[in-house]
Amino acid sequence: MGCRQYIEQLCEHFEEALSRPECARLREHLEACPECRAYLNSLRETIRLYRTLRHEAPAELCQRLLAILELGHEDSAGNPH
Amino acid sequence: MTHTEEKELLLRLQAGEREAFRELVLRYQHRLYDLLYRMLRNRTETEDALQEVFLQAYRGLPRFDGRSSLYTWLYRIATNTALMRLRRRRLKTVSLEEPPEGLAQEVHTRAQGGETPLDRMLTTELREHLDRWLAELPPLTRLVFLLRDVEDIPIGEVAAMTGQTEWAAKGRLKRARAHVRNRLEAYLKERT
Ligand SMILES: [Zn+2]
Repeated sequence: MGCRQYIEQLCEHFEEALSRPECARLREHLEACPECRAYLNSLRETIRLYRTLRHEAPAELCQRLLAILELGHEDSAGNPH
Repeated sequence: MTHTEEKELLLRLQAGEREAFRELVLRYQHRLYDLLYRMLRNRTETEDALQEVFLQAYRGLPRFDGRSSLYTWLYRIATNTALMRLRRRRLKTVSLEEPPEGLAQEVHTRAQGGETPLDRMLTTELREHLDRWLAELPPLTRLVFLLRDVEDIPIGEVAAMTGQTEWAAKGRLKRARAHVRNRLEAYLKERT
């Protein structure tokens, strides 16, 4: 198998590739191939960025939500009592 | 939330306890907002959609049978809402997508604490790119990536939530991962 197929497997299994029994050959390949290791690392970094750089609901939206649902609006959005 | 905590919250919700619904809103509002915004890419529509999701959940609670977990159910409502709005938009053939947000505009990011203005600018710029690369993918492919890799929901549940086989969901996930990874790689190369 060439790097292309291993990269396909990496995209399919991602972190699970490091533990799944059927990915044993991929793990062997990763140890020997710096390019595929770099690919795994960049995939990791990409997903990490998507998880970190998120959008947060504006505070006034939360107030509005609770008001619409008639759940009171006096101390929402994490304001402590 | 642990399984037991969720069961407990569900019992309180179905008993009609208002405080419990408030907890549900506070617990999921940011995650659902992020998911909806990345699907719809328009702030006003995302706000409307989020309201719709919680209203539907509120009304649907008495009929919720508890066979799936509470969060699966909530995400399924959000997922359907996003897909339906995108479909409606396609029918109208108008693009509601907003231009990238201005730097002067207030940004709501979780990764902002203690950064310099330059950091923040780069963060905003990079986040806009990430969103745009994702938006290049078909809605269902985008959704699978967001649910599996951003929200960390097991692929079997993602498949059930979005009404596709696990095999199909895995195929979409694979394509999405390769696409966004390649875009980021090219972007970083261009800048160095
Ligand atoms: Zn290789």
